[in-house]
Amino acid sequence: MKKYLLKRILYLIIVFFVVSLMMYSIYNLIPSDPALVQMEPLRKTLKPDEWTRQYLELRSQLGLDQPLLIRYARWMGFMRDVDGTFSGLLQGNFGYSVSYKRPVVDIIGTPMQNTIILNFVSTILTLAITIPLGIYCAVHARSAGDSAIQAATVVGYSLPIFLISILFIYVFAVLLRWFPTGGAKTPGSTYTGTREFLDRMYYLALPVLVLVFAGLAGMTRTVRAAMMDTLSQDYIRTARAKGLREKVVIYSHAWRNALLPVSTSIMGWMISVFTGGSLVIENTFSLNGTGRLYWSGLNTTDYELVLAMQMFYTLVSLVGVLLTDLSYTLVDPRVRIDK
Amino acid sequence: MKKYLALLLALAMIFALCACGSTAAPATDAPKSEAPAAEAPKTEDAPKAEEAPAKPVKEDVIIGTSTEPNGDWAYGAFTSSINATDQDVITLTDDCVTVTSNEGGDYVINESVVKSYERSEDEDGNVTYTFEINEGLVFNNGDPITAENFLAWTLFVISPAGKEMGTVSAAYNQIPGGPDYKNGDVNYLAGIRLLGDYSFSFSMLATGYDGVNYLPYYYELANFGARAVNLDYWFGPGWHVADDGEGAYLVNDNGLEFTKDNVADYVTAAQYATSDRVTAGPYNLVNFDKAATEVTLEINPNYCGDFQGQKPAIKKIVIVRAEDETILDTIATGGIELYSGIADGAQVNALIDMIEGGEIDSDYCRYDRAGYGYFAFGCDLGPAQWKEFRQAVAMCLDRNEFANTFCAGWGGVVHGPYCTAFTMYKDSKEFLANNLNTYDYNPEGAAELLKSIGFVYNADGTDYVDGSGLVRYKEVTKEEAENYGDFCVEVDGKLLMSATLNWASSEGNSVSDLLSTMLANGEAAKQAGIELKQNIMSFPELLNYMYRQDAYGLGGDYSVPTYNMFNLATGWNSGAYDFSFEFTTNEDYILEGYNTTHCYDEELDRLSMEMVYGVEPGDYDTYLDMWQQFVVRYNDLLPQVPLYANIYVSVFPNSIVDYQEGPFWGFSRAILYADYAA
Repeated sequence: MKKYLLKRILYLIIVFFVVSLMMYSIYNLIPSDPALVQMEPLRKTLKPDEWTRQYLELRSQLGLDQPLLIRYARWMGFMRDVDGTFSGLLQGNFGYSVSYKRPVVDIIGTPMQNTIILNFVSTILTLAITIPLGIYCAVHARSAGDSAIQAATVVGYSLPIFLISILFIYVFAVLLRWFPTGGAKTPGSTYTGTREFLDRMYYLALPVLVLVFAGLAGMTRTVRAAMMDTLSQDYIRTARAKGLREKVVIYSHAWRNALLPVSTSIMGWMISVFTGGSLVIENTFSLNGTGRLYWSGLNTTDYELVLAMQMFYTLVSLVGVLLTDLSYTLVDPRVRIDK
Repeated sequence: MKKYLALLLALAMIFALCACGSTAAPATDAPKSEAPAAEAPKTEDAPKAEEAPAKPVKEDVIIGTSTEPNGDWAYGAFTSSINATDQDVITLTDDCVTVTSNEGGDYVINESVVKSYERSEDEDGNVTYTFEINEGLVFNNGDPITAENFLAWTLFVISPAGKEMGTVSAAYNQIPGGPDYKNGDVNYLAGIRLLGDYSFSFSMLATGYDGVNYLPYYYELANFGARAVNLDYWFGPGWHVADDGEGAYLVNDNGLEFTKDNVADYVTAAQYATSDRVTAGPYNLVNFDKAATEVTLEINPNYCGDFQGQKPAIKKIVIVRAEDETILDTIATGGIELYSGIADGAQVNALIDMIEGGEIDSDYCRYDRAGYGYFAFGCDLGPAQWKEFRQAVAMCLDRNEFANTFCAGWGGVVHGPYCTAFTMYKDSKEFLANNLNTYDYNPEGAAELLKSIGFVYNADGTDYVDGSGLVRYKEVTKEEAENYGDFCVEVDGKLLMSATLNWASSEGNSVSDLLSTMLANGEAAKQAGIELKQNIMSFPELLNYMYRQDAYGLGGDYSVPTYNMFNLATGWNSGAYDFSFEFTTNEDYILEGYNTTHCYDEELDRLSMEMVYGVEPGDYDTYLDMWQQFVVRYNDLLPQVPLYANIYVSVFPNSIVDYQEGPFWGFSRAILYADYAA
């Protein structure tokens, strides 16, 4: 187990650095000059010579006058930066946002928190709905109920999420006035404690509903397929033949065995959706999340911000895959990973 | 595993109940159309709608903004372009300034702050403004405002400590002693003087240390403005401004040096404060909620009034982020009550339908945009190097129809580099009507213009037949064809250039789409024999090609002239009309990215420079004359073709009255004049 884990972590580190070099190179290939982006609005304020002097100084400060590999090494923390210190990703410096004029680490906290809350609530709700639905569909496979659920859930899967969002806003916010169209809290409110929590949840409700609706089909089908596969096994037939109650057959025998593929899907899914903000949802509902921050970073060519987020996602994904693999052993004792 | 599943489901139930629990009240208790969520009571233990009084007096106004606030309140000292919403918040919270702008965008002395001022000029043309401020001014925390508060910020921004912290200074070359102070050679700034508790002066050099002529400058008043900042709040306890006769400097009661180490923490804390900022404006920052990207402001009872003595009546304003896609829904449901500057004609029409249909209890005001959309030529490349060609292109587009379509009826056309809000425009309407070419839609006229400059061939060198629908060609020299080889052919020893514009068009741009339909693929261009080759690219890449960045070898492929048409937009934040250096013929400046249209015309350059740097402030007649000459020259040379100038519409609730925005008068200024409806 230990040997396996060390081997996987070593692979993980190698992949991380390869991905980081690729990402850094790709973003640096994009035709944009961060120094020019910062200095361009000053053309009207500064006279030409002074503008040029400050522009070149900024290029130097940002290290843009150095070759790509040196810039990468500095960004990663393998080499000393312009100021003579090691201050790269490895030293915990996630970079500097040129659009926010602040260290990336200072910017990313609040959106990350918002995204995790949004995705946590929606993921839990989605699982709470889809697992029973999937089991029901598998047990009543090819019945009218199964077909109806399949058809209903596939709508959310088939429609683009921005369309679902707009439709939900129209129905639940404009027509029914049940929810607000967007935002994170009642404007200007100074609620505290439970009232604040409930207010935040109220504003989260509609985006959560959209995410849940869009996510129903995938997990329902995963659970249904796993359960159907398990229900067709000989030991299920044996269990039924020996007269066990149907509930016991389904929940004690079938569901436990169906969990193996389901749990790994859930693990990977949860890790990715918890941290990866939904660009469309966050923009449509005016939520200050990581998806929106990422989109904003791309639009403002704030590549240090975007790169930092990208590397964070990379790390989360790599760790997620490792954890998913490890989770097999928890769910199924037959699986041994030390061989 | 069952245990985990049960735990999971239990958690899901809790969250489901939480979510549903809080929605129950609005869903069942609140009247659907009269009590939208945004109007819910705002207190901790707010009663439900049915228990509440009939209609409580609503003291707050919820303002939507399309620009998410960053929460950077350092007046742009550290950034090249300050976020628009941050700027609005600064305007609302920090208005103790000596110079401000009025509704027309003109710079004026703020008489609520300035008791008197005097302008003096020495024999070299160097100018000094001496201000005496009113006594009794105070910050929102009650601290008195004196002369030192108006000097501190400039002293900080130019100081070595400021430089080390990343401040951007544009003024140090103009201020006497600026470079010495900036470099740390002296600890005082000679051009800034503390003359008494309520008196100070700012001086500026006619010719700066960089050899540039800064004065006379028509809008010089803008350069002499100063803002009062609280020294304790921004730099820490014990800081003061002193002056021993050589110039003002920062000094600390505890003997501290003004260094980054000693002040950076205070500056950063003040720059990104989320509440309790010490300021002197009409409102106080009560809270900046980063998670909700929401700014809450409440009235500052200590405010001295704006330049006209106006104080706000609206007690509380809340600025929230609004999404363009759902803005009308959010307004309809009360999520936003006031939204400034809606430009999309379709949205404006829908909004007015909602207002007139009684769907929302709101009103609106309209005003001309201080700016316009246009396409610019690269006037040194390909056929765009001939002004007749540029004029012909303009005549292939029905600009009135374009503006009408793009703005859905909420926009018009201008015929030069101006907006209709400018005083100069208002005073020149007749002159402009008589002297500007409106380049009306005229494909035949365009063809005649092309013929007049030699576009009379087909690609094979045969004579062009009018109306053939083919692209025209012109015999050119190698110099004229430079960098445009892809659009030139050699026939029988003749070098022929096609009447093709290589258009850099930004992606996801509705103006580009309409231009493509109406001009590039329009019948008129085809009839005239013009071709537009649209190349879609990202906006940063478009800018790279436009600026070329020739200087210092930074441009790479971009330094090679490639495109000769770009579609963009421009605008003004104030009434200051300054096109200096934009049409420069100085080769060094051009290499550095100035004169992006590459329209090299000595007269246009002279007019654009002398209009602001050759006219004494206050000499409006001379300025107006030069402005008119400049606009006429521009209109003739046509380095840019103005396409549309929007009419903006702002919506506000009927619960307030006397609210009127303008081109240079956004909500942060207009809200001071609004009051609650009786």
